[in-house]
Amino acid sequence: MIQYSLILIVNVSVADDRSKYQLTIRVGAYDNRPKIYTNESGQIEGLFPDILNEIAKKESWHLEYVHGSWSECLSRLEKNDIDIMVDVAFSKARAQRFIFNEETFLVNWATVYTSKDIRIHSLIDLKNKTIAVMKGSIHTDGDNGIKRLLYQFAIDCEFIEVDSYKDVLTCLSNRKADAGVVNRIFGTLFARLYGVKETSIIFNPSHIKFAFPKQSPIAKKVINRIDEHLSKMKDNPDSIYNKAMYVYLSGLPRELIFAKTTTNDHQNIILTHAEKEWIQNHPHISFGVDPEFAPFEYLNQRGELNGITFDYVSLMNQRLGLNMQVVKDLSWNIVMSKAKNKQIDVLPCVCVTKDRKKYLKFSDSYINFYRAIITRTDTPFLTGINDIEHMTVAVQENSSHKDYLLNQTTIKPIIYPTLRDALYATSNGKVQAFVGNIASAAYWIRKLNLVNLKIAAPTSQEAQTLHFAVRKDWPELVSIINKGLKSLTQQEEREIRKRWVNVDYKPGIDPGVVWQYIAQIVCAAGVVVLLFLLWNFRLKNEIRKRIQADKELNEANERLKKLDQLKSMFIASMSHELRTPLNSIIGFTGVILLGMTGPLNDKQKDHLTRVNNSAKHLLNLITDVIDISKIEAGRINVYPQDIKLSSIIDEAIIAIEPQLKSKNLTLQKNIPDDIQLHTDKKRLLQCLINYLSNAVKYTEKGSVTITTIKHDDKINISVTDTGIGIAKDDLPKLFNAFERLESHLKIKAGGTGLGLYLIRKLVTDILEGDVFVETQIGKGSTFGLIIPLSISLKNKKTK
Amino acid sequence: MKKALVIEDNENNMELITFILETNHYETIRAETGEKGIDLAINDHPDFILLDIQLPDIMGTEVLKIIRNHNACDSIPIIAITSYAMAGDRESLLNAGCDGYIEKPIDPMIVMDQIENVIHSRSQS
Repeated sequence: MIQYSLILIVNVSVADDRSKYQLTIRVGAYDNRPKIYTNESGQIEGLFPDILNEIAKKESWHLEYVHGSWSECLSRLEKNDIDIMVDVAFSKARAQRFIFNEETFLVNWATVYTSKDIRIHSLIDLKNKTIAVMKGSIHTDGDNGIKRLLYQFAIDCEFIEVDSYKDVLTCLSNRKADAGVVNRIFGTLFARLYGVKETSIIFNPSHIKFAFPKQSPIAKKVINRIDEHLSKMKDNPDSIYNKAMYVYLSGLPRELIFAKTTTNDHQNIILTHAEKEWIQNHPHISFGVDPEFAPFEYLNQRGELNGITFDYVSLMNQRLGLNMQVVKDLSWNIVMSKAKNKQIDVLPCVCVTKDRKKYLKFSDSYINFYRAIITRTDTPFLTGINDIEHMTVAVQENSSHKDYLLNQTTIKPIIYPTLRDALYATSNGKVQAFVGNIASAAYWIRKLNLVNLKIAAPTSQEAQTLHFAVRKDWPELVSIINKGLKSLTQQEEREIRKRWVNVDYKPGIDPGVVWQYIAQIVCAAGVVVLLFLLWNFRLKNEIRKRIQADKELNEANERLKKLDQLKSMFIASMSHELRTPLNSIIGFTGVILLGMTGPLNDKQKDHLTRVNNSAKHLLNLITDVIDISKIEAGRINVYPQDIKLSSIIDEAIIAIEPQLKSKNLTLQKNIPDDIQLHTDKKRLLQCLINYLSNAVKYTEKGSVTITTIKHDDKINISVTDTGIGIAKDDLPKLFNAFERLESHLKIKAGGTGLGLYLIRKLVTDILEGDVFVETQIGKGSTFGLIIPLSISLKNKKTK
Repeated sequence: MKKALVIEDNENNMELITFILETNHYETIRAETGEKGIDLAINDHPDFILLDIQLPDIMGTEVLKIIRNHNACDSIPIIAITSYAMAGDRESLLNAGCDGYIEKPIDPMIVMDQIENVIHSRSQS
């Protein structure tokens, strides 16, 4: 009885929290990277917390992480000292002690790994092998663990029991064991690091779920919400769940999970609990449209809703979880009267008027339009609303324009039920002018071919705003829609406008191409007149803005100049500062590799060679980047000198000799006569070495040939290989930065991806020549350069 | 045992070069600044000098000139250690009185050959 009343008290306090839209949930936290752990700044993060936090954010829950070891956390859970534990494998025994949620968070299992040179395809292959396992793990001693599994198959083998998964993989990499058992997550994350190989043997699957205390008062509700969110997130490839799974299980940086993509911008919408509840309680919301209010909203020939408004309504439905549905086949007058009687809930595209405020509430505006005066083309020139005060003026019933004329002018308008009727009346002379929305008027003038109408003048230079209108007793929906509208990016709004404003509205029945063109020209002329008027109004403003813009442009220019100086300084200092530590790495690893500090075992030698090679690669990359930056900034010096062609070629060949020998390729020289050059020796040498080493890299057997041909005052030097060749489609991008073709080659051949780009830069910018390439796929390539025998040194820095 | 003077401001480079030299049975004396380098070159009679040309106090080329012009050491072989960025200056280095140069990064495999070649050709000429 006492216990029962305690639970009641807890329930009451939970209800209190709920009224503040918050429920505090205590979560057991322990360290088990990457599933859950404490980061450097003391925050709990990992696969489970990141996804749980996302759910809590949506539900307005407050999560309080309670730190402890795995077993401490479990005993706290049993005593109801915490409300939830993450990463608990479901078992029948545990289900006696805890409540589990329904939806499995992920399925974990054990995987057998081997060292790289051992072949194990199935359990049978484990016979007489040594297997490293973690002491006490369910994958070792559990009912479905490896020991029992092998016993059932009557396979004999020896087990080494170690304390951690880390030790299991270490046993493999230093050959103490032939195979090892780790869980799937640890395996995928660390296999590469230990140089071990995954086999296809997996066993002992377990369903990892969230666990709750048996007597928890909130478990039922929380489980319900978690299950629903989990199942939704699993289905959505962009959800935090799927991103977190991918990122954590691939060992990628955690930030990637939360990186913004354009499609998840709407996750910025934070609805209050009350708002969410309101949406849930209003599963059907009806909205009405003016069927002729193009391009904002109109029904097409098939009776489907089209226009700018439709896009906005669809976006609001999608982002806010609303279900707004159009009520079709009603005239605008009927729509308005139904809206007054709350039979229609929402009008998605209307102006604010005094009369409408009595029965509608308005959202923020989301699109503007101009109110204009339409007259026949024979009407004299107008400047504004004052000029039509003595005229007969048509206006649409139930429009903001009617209210405007009645309340803000002395005009007594003649009211027509639809926009079309009002325009017809203007066209056939029943009235002298029409006042309405410029965009929809222009649309209908073209559509109805009312060639004797023109847009005469704007009523004022101020834009009218269009809003969502909601029945007055639903203020919650207004704030919800406002949140939705705020979540739209400028890009999205631009795209919607572009889609509908650029539509070519062709007349339904073609009354003749000539008339169509005339109508279009008339409309265009009308728009020009209107723009001219608007322009006049704004001219003064514009001049002020332009003076300001000019000033800003000058300032921006100054900033750019400073930035350029900064860039040059950066490159200059980078060349020294980046290379110095690399030189140390290359030097010291070189010393150790030579055995100068004592003997090394094979593994140490292999790994240190990798460090040494990587450092050399990085140094080359930096050198290439610096060279390119210098050329691009025009800061590279040219040192021309007299040099024999043959001596440069010999020097280049010496540089790549080791690579040639190691691949058993022959080198042929085809140099008919030795020529005296006056050029930058170092840069020409750099290009030739680059070409030659590329040729060697991409050739598996055959030869590399270096050929020179003299044409008048130019020399053509080319390197031909018998390698893989290059597809024709790839040729244009070959000499660009960071272009290497076909991914398998990238991996195999290494290199910086800057080599050919650098050659092109050096040849065109320093050596005053040009590069070329000829190739045949499967047969080989010829890369070459044509440079003048003597550099002219126009516009160049020399020493 | 031959004695080498190493003038180098970067501690790592100094350790690398002296370690390689000592392993190959040379005695080394160290100078971290150009000024100390000049002093040791004149007073300690090294058999050859390895000179980093990017020094914090005096330009390496200046150090080179001062040592070269001093009576006590005008015949000591001097090998400059250059970095890639200084490539254009190599000819001027040789003109200023260097007997040879080694380009960074130092390759422990061949650096002793490079040094011994320079010393050898100097003693022959």
